Amino acid sequence: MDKKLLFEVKDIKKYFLIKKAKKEEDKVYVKAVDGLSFEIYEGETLGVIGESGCGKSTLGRNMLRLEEPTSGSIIFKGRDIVGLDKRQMLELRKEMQFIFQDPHSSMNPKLTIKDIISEPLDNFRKDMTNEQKTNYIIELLEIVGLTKDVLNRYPHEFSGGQKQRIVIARGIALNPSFVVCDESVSALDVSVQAQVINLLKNLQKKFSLTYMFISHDLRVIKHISDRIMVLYLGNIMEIAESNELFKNPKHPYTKSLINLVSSGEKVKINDKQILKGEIPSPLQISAGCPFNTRCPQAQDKCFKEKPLLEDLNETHKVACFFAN
Amino acid sequence: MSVVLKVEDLSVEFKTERGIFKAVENISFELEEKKTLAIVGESGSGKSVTALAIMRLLAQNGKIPSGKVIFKGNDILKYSNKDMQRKILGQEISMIFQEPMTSLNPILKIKEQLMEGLIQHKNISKAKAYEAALEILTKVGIPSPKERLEQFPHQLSGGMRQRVMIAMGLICEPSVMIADEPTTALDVSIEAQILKLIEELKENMNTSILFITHDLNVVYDIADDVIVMYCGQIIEKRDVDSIFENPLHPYTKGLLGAMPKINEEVEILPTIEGTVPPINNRPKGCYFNTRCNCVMPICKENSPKLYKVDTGEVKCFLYENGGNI
Repeated sequence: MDKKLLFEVKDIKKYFLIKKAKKEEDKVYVKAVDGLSFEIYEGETLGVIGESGCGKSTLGRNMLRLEEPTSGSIIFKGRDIVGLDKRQMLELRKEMQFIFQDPHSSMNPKLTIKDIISEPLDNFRKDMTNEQKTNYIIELLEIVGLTKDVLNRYPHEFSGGQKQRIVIARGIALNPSFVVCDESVSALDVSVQAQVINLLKNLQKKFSLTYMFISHDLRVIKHISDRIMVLYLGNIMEIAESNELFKNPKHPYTKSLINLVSSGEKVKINDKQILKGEIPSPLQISAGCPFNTRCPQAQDKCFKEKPLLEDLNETHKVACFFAN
Repeated sequence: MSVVLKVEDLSVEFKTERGIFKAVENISFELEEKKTLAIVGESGSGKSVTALAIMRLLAQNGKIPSGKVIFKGNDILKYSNKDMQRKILGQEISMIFQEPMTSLNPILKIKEQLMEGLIQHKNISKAKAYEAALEILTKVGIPSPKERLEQFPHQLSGGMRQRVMIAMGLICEPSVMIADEPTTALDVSIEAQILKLIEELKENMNTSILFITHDLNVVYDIADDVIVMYCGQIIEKRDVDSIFENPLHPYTKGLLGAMPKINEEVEILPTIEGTVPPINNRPKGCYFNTRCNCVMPICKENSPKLYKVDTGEVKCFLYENGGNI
């Protein structure tokens, strides 16, 4: 299969300054995203998994330039979008959308559903008449499994799953090619979560969407992703095709995560291998491999040098000195 | 096996401007000594309200129109508030919540919060309470516990705070600990640590656990017995292995099916159609009849009883004759 590149991300960094100082060496930064390079291909779902503070949400926001990256480049369809000015970016906004975890806070409570979905159209589709817009909105609602009865109702009248459907309808209104889903199904009940996951998959086929799907839930990520990227403290630990990653994890961190959910799924907590220690504060990252404080296989070298993300084969990369 | 906590025919209703709504309807269950009983359900199933009713911590507009909560032979619903606080809460039955930050007092040191319960309930000296606090903090796996005792909640990580909560819940050595989604806000690797800790403490401290969660994976990890709730009713009650190997109620089947699985490849996840009916608009007959894929005419007329099957009880007409159709 020929894969067409949609995004090429090169050494992207996002540092937050948390202590100001005159001299550069006295300044203190949180390195939320610390030099990530990866590709996203057209029509695929790239899953991003990691625990709190791994930089997964920061990465998502930087990909759409909702935040300015500190350095690095994000090449979208052959064009570096870092450094584009507001007007240039505005044109690209249509092609990229974001679906957040909490649909309730993504909607203005004072607007009707019709107004909410109409907002992107008002901004970008000035060619459409009001009637055309209304018809199109009804069409969108039907696509996400709602009916036109909801047009004049308000967000608070809906359940979490229905709200997420409305946000998704708004998200696809401008025919985007790329959607970042940041924990988009995490707040939903199991039965509703499955409905929304199926909807997202359906839409992907129908509109040839490319997803970056951010989640902490390994089961959901495995189900929805073609490839998976594992982050830890702002660094990529491992990246591979979904099945390969679960069958053949190479990084000790990936292994420990997968071990928690698999082994035939018929293992109780007492028989599971559990990672010791906690995620260090991003302010106190030691030298060497970011995972060295918790790694069961850490050696001297891991405390001195930081391992690079290296190719294991064409599709599997891992950042560990002892991956083999 | 002796029963520590027995809930009989318990109902809870809330009075609101729009009328009286039943959040929990006539539920009964038993918690056995040194066992973990999980109550699992989606939002609005009544699982947390059940816990709050047992603890007598319902909001002002919450009433218990019927039922008994029998703890060691006494119906604690009949206790006065004062007796409840003095004899039961924290001492015999304790509770830990999802969000430790909102349950811990931000302006008190960890040691003060830990010692408070002991001094209140056990009438012991401050020095002894301090020793006990230090011991329990060590038991829940907090490194350098002496320093931690002097710190404030905001200085601890989420996992540490949950450990402190568990320590507070266990410091008086209660017979029952109610844990309401204690790991939901935690990262996976930390969640696993906390679950393992709860499991170990249950063994070592003779505590029975009522574990409330929406997460079926967590249930499999730690429960001995499982209650599935839907719209305020118990719809299936069985031991953990039977329920996962062979779920009986169509809702339980649906829930387990809707979970993505690591070892299976499916293009489309099985779902349960529709949504949970709102509390003010529950259907006639079986509450699940609007979403059930095995619905029969009788389901729309009558509410099924909890029928006995080999390995437990199921509230579904399909099992009217013990499942022998």
